[in-house]
Amino acid sequence: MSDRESAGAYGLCVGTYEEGLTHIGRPSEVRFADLPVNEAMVRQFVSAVHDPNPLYWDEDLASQVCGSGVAPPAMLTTWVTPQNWRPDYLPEPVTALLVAVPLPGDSMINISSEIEFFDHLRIGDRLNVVEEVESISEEKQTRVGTGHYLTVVGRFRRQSGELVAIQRNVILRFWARGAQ
Amino acid sequence: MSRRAQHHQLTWDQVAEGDELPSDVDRLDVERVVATATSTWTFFGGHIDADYARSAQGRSHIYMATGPILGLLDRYVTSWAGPESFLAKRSMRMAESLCAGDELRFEGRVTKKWMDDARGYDRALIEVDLKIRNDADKPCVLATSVYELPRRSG
Repeated sequence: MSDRESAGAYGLCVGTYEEGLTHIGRPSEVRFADLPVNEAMVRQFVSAVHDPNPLYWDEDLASQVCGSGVAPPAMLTTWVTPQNWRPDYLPEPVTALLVAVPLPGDSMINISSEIEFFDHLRIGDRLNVVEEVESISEEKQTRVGTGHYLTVVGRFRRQSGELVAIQRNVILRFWARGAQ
Repeated sequence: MSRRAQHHQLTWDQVAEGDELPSDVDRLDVERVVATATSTWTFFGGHIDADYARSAQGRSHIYMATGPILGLLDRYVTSWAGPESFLAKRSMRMAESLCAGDELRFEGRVTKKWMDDARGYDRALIEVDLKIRNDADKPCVLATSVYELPRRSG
């Protein structure tokens, strides 16, 4: 993939619609969380969101209600988001599938997201995710530009292999700086 | 002393289809948008760089990342229903971005209440329809969430 053009702030892989279609149904590599689900990041998130839910502020209550400390469900994807820089970063790091699928467009926005949870995200969980492109729409004219809608499914598991959540995202890949 | 008595919690039995959630208002400022984006490691221009959000993406200002928006939706429901409410499923659609400077208004309504045994055990579920509107009264975020609530009387 090193000879491919990449574009935009996300380093999106640029290609044709037909190239994109060949990626449907291919499971991604397993992407592992850098860090376990941890209290410090949970606190930073709920403090920024202004979430007063005592599960995230009162360890005793969380243990009583959930059997352990827990993270907000909205942080699901944060745990498997790669850091922007680290000393051992590979020249071609494993990237999110939606970045690696070749398609026209230098930008993307999330259109809709559906997540089903089977358990809490628990402090100490080391999550991993396997993604798969389920479908790619034909070219559409949208409010923000011309592009394609991708549906990506992600299955999130903890280190024991237990399924914690399934996410289904619809993303628009489009030309933000004008079509080529 | 029971800690459980110290937090507010609705039971499934106390909730009825058609119940409205109390409305809520939240003013988004620049710091808030940046803090929420960085807390999810989402260092994308649209969320942290006003020039990029305006010139490359045509927004009025930087706008909230998806994860934190989901956090706002979940906060709205659990603030009403209580911390023992387990989010079983949530679908969300963006119509407009939530930009720095917007005053967000939350509304919600219970659309369904049922018992479910699809996972091999009984779950007492409710479904809530949720909306976040901006200053211009446009619905920006539309969501449907399913929560499992405890079954207790009173």
